[in-house]
Amino acid sequence: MTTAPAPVSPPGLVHDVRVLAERDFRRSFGRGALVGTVVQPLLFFGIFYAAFSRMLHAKGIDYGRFVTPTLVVQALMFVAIASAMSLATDRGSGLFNRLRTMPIAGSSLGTARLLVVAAEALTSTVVVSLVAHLAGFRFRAGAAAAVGFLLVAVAFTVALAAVTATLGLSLRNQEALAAALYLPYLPLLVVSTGFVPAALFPHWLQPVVRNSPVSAVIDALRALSGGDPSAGRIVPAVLWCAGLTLFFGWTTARAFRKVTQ
Amino acid sequence: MSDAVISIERLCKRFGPTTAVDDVSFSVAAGSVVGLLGPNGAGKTTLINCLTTLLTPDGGTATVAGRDLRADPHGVRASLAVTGQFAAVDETLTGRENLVFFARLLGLSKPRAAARAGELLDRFGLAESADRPVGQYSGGMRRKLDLAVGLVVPRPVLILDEPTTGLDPRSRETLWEAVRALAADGMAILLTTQYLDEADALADRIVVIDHGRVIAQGTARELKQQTGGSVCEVVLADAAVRARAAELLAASTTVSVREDSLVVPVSGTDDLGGVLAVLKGGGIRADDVAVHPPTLNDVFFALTADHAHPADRAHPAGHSAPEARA
Repeated sequence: MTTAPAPVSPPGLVHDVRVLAERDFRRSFGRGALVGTVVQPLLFFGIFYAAFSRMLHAKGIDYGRFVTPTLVVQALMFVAIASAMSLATDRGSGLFNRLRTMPIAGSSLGTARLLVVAAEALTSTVVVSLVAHLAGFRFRAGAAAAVGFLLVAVAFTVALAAVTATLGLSLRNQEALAAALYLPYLPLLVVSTGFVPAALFPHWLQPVVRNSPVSAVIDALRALSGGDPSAGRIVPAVLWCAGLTLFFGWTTARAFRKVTQ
Repeated sequence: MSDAVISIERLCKRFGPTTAVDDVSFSVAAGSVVGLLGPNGAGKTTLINCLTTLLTPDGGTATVAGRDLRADPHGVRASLAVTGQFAAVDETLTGRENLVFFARLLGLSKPRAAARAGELLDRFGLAESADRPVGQYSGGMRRKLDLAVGLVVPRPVLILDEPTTGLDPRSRETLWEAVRALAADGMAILLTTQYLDEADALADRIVVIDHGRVIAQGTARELKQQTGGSVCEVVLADAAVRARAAELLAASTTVSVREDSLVVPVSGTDDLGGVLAVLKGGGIRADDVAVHPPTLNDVFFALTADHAHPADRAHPAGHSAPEARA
């Protein structure tokens, strides 16, 4: 008996999370995968700048200050979408089932994914903010507010990733999944205060715009980068992020347990 | 060969009104291969999913290397290696990176994981492709890597869920060799398959399940003896003629309908004469007739014939629709 039947001892949560996250990082930050987190947001920044900056300037709106938080949010949406596609790949290939038959800590998969999503969100946010610097974007409310800006961005990505993870783990049809992930993002982004102030929407749409979580987050990011980081403009975003994360964290955990059936 | 490493006791699993696994008991000893054989939807995969802790059974239990499935699922997971019908590896990583990833996840340090990955790549003939992304691997290479991933850390139990489905004969033979070597090393191996020749070639004992129930178990020889003496195979390429012949023969004997033939058990010249007389009486001219000892195929059809409509058995197991319950 050369392969001695010696069951391995479980190395623990921290170890498991580190090994799992390393794999995800390699996927997210290697072999051309930076297109999603770096190139795509920059491309959109350039496109929107070319298309809208002069018109906004004519209306007295500073493109860099007004649109940068919107494009940060758009980049974060792409991070959450890519995360769900990655989950769907691992589910489809049977990798999740294999991991679930291994003696690893139960919460390590979710924790590792959250860490990677947070890292991607930070990367995208920093990249967009740096480029936006060229277009006049500045952190005017000090270092603490700038850190708050990053934290809200990461919290929103985690919340969105919880939403998309439920879809990525439940929808078995890849095309249906791609549609469910990519169709809502543009309406959510446009039907918000991201590009156009709420008052300029049709009356019937204004309540939707004002109460959209996307508006809340964009407003908080504007407050934290602009000159007015008051609680009233930040708390709604924090509540939205917390609520979405809690509810969709729960649905994701449920979907994960059903991956096998 | 006496100590049971896997011991399944009265295991049940239901999905709504369907009982996918119904009161199944059997065991697998160290150093032996047990083949779990059954048609699509028989409950093989559900049983494996219960045994590998992916599903919680509704009744009964199982122990794996002394760990109880219900009381200590983590201990069960630590004792078994699983290789699925889908080659569950990360396509974006190279073969080597996959092995290192799983080895580290199972507690090996980075240098030990790298050394182990090198060993396994050599052993499975994957050294040349070690640093190519798995996405570029052939089906056979993937299965080999999948099996290698199962072996990064020595564990007493190996579960192979349809390991050679879709493989070419050469890759199949290579994989079989590897499985035999592992059994010789002392692993307890549970193998599900739809291929009777695979069970015949690898398994020390065979458990046949259908509709979630164990309908027979024993060695290949014992199972073949259960069918009695020889079988008579009547080749009838024309489907309509075949159906009519089956109807005529069914009045006096057990008929199993195959892709282009009928198979009838015959234990002497009287039986054989009877078959030929029925065919002649019906004006049926067979394309060919052969009498041979039963293959495991014949046993399988004979055992499962009572449990389903003949139409379900009209094509050999292995080429039909995917498992109803994956």
